Amino acid sequence: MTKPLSRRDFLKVGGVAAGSAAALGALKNVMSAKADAVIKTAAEEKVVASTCHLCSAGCGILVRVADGKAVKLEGNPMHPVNQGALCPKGQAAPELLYNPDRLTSPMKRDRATGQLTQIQWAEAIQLTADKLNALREAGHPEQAVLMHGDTRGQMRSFLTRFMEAVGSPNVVSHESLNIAAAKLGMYLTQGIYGLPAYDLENANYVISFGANLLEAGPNPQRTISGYTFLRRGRATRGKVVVVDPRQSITASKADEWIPIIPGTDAALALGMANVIIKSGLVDADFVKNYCFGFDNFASDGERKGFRDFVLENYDPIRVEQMTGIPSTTIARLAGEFAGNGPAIAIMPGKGGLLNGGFSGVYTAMAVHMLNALVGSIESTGGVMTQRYMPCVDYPRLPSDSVAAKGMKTIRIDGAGSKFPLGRNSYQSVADQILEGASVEALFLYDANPAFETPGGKRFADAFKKVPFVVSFSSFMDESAELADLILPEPTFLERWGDDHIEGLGYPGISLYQPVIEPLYDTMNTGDFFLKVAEAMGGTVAKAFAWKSYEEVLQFRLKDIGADWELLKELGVWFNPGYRFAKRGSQHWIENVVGAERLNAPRDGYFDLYSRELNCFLGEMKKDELAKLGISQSGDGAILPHYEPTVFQGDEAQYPFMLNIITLMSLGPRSDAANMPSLQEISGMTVRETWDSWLEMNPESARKLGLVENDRVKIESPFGAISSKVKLVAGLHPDVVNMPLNQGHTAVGRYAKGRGVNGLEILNPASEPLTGLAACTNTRANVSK
Amino acid sequence: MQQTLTLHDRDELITPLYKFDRKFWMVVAFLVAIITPGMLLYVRQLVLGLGVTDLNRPVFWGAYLVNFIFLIGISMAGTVISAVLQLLKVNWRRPITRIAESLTVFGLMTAGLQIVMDMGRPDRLVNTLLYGRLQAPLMWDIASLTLYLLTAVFALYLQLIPDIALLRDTAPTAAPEWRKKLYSILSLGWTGAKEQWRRLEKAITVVSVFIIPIGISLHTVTSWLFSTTVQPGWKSTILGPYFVVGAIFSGIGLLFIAVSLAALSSLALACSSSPSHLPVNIINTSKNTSLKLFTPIWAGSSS
Amino acid sequence: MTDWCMVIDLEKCVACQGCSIACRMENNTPVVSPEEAKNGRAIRWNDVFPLPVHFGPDQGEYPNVKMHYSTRPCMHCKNAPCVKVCPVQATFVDEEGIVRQNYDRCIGCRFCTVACPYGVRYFNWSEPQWEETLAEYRNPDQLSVNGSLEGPAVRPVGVVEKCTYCVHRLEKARARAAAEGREFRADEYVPACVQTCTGKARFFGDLDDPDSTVSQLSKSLRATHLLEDSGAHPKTLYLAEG
Repeated sequence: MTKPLSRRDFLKVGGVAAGSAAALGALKNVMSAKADAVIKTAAEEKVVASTCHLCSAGCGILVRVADGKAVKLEGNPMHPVNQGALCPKGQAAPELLYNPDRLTSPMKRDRATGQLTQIQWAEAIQLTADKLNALREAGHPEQAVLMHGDTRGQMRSFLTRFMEAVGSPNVVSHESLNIAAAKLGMYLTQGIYGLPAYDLENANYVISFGANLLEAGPNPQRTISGYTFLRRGRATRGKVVVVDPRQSITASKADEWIPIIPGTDAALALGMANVIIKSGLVDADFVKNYCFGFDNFASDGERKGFRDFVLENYDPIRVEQMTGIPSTTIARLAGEFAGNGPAIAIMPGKGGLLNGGFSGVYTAMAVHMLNALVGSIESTGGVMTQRYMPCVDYPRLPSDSVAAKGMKTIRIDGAGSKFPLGRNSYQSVADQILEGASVEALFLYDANPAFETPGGKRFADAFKKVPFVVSFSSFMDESAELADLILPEPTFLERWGDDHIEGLGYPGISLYQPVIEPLYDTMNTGDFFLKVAEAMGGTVAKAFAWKSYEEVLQFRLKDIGADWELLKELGVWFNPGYRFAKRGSQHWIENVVGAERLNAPRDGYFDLYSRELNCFLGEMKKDELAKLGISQSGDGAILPHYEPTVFQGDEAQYPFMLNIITLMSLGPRSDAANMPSLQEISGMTVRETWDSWLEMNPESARKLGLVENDRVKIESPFGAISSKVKLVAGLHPDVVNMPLNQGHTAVGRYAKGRGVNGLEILNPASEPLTGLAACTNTRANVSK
Repeated sequence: MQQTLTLHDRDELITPLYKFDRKFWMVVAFLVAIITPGMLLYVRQLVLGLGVTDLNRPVFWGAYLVNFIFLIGISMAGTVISAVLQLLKVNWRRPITRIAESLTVFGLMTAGLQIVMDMGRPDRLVNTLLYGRLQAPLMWDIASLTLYLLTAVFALYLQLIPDIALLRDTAPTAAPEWRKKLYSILSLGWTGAKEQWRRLEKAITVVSVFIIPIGISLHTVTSWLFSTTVQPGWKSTILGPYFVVGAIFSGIGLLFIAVSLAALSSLALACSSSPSHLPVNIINTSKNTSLKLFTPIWAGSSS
Repeated sequence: MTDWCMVIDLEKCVACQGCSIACRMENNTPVVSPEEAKNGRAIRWNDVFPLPVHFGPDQGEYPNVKMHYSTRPCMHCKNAPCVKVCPVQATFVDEEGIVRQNYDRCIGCRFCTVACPYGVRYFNWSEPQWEETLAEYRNPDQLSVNGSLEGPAVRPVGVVEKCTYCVHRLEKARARAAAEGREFRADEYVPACVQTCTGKARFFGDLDDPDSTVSQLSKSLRATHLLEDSGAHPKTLYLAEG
């Protein structure tokens, strides 16, 4: 008979089992506490200094190359723009390099069938050379056009030189889509065609008129570095005020956000000027001795100066009605701005400037003049003028009658003719072609006009009229899909190049070098054009005697103060320490104020009454001005003033103003949209990912019966798209925003079909005086 | 005092254990039809990872854990209830305890499976023994669940000893040898002697005393498992009693369903080895009472 | 004893998300598909997000609205809830105050993910994947401790992973110092997010060293922790805005 287990035995057995389990566990724990760390890494490692090319900032990078693979990018601590930091785009750059959708070889498209065939580089070079030679033989080299994107460093001058050697003045930069308005504002006042550099590190007070300092703009990393130093990098903290209808990240991080009615920044700036003048807070020395047109002056009769014009028209009470900002706030801002120098007023980004008509340029001028009023031009903590490294001049082009004739023709984009004040009109190239301008060969370098221009789809039609379209894109983007020759350039991590350091005032050069051997059968466009020149023979070949683009760089950068080997090792070379020019000195006249004026005197006077603009508008009658969208006449048209935005679309039918915002994550470049990590983080502010969205004020949404994530139809006079709604409390009730660089129909698997492209339904027109894109004056309707 | 079986009882109770009729195979086929897709889907989960579930951030735990809680909840029914009945010496308990304890054992086994299925790396289950931290709530749960399962199995086994002896004694001569041997071993030499009955009763009582705190511990531990996290609605001290009451409530509920079904088919009562017939009205009365008693308690603690 | 600590100055943070991607590239966290990302399964050990996460009407109406943005690595709590709930000691606080994860031991019960007040622990819902050539850029480093994987080498499906203050960088710096026959200095090591921070908002160092930047900053009146009442004694410090 089996005895049942007694209770005591049972407890005993159980206790022993539990105890030994615990002891075993404890023993293991003790053993694991004694760490025996083994770190395995790549067999062969090196770090290569180069430059990032994913936005226009051009940050210095140090690329970790492990076993021949570029695995990680870090900021180059030597580089003055980013000082060792790197934004998400730069960090994700290996996703660009190793992107599975990259083009791997040159290709030719059969127009009739659309079939792509792989070709050899030699064939591509011969085709291009033959085409250009044919144009030259026909006596029309100007029918070759080059459109380029954010092409900086020597590449820009190299491409321009190539086109000059061929005989075409038609090198069109995409700046009319973004920074040209600010450059014009600077040009018409300070007489320098370029972006100002801001001494944020030493400023005490910064007021940004809608410039997205921390997210977008021409040099986000530079402004981030300056901004954070101003706030917490030094003993005294500066104040930052952001004027913007949308509470951007910049605005939410600022000390004060001033919501404003869109397009009225000029009124606010002039209202502040009014208070500053009235209160006697102007820098009297500067406005009296180094400015033109502050007081009334006599020239063909009594002319009105800036002071009287502003005092008469921009009383804060009136400005309050225009801008929706309380007059007390305007007065306070003016007092703070003038009383807490050094102070900087920063010109708007494209959202505030490209609102059609000439009002955007007036806005840039008015804002920049605030700097002049308080004497912040060329002073510590104020506005600096960008200096550049001295590059060795290219040898003189051999004399060539065909090229000389071609160079005398008017530009295809109408800059300087149809658009008298404009220097480039990127988006209007399509219009000109469609209107019958003859373009025989079109090169697209770093450019995707079919996507990145408002109403870009018309480029598809325009390209049909051009028999020879060449794209140098590394990806099959919207424009490359329409091209006849697709000649992929390696990514910036695989090629030679350089970049001017901008935003700090002092000059510098940042070098791109191949950190790894090119992965695919790609060719640096610089090398390609050298080979084309060689194949063309004659004067063009003579003008390009270099063997490779690397040699071009070596030639151009001989005099920067660092030899080639040192530059390769460091990746960057600059002359630190910005030397402020003494007011009125020779240096001042040559570099700081007025040096680049084409018509008005280069006398070192900062124009509060723009003599340069007077050369264009001074003779015009009221009705001529009205045609240009300028409501004032006489002196009023020359002086910066608030010009109400002329919207496209009736307010009753299209109640919202549609704006396209640039994101820190995706940035402006089409290829960045095909980087999966960037897609993933793109919609952080609205908790969205891999998609586009429509930002809307919650109250406006409520009135339309919309809730978050509703799909809506967004309709403008130029088309309709559909996206999902995101509620953003910090947004003017009449404004809706969409992100840039989503909604691709090409580029690659990660970019394609992610939401919609808001640019499609923006006004595709060009501003009549400058050729700037007039896109932020589009109204839209939102419905379920 | 070994019982003897009528011929009818033998047909009803013993024959189906050796001869599998069509009805049996149909039930098996039905169950296989349910289990096979489940198994295949689990293999898919093993291969592709837990991503095939709709779990995400911040919902890291989902249906598996809900099943787990449900199953250990209803497992409370069985053993604890039968133990209470045992200790209160309720004489009509026998037919119920058998059902109740089976529910417990199978419920707990499935509950344990749910945890394994919820693990991202079930292949590393052995790590809980190798590197187990007794401070971790999951280890309390594992310990408590294992103990409860073992105790419940033991309790069920004790109850079954006379039945197994009956099987041993009534095995047909054609029965496979291994089954005869198995019954012989498992019945521990049961003869139905009075002394044996006395000892068995005593053993059952002892186990019943043990099993109540173990059962309570399982439910409180499981609730603490949730309240040691910081998920909204979980991080609360009420979770202990809430789970225990909830378990008793749902456990009894399931028991009533099972007993009612059994009573309907009159199978369970007929096959009991001590045929003290349970009047259906007793079931109904206690069902009503417990519903009325526990609903407010459970509802109260959950609000 | 060294006590590694990160300080994040929210006044200098510009919500650029550079830290998120730097972490991804350094630690080989995979990109998940768009559908997965929308389902809340994106793995970014260091995330940047708007605060409040869900902006409701009670947070203000235009124009009286103030959005905030925050960034969140692991807090490396002194009383880490994740460590306390881990049944197999796959996560633990090491002697230098870093909460680490043993990827070869984790059983994937996801207890730590629900216990963590900060949501910094990420579960590998599916096999981490890099499409085609994208796999080339993965960090080749691999840290193993007592034979168990802890480093940035790709983690298998079904385990929980987290920010480790880039502990493999620490080990690499140590190994380098040892190879060069010198003492390891605390400033030889920073995590990837600290190195890349565009606003120079992140600081890293030894909290135990009274002269280090982080211990100086920890005395700031702006110094605060995320959810100080969580009971976890979080270590990563924030310097508040304003």
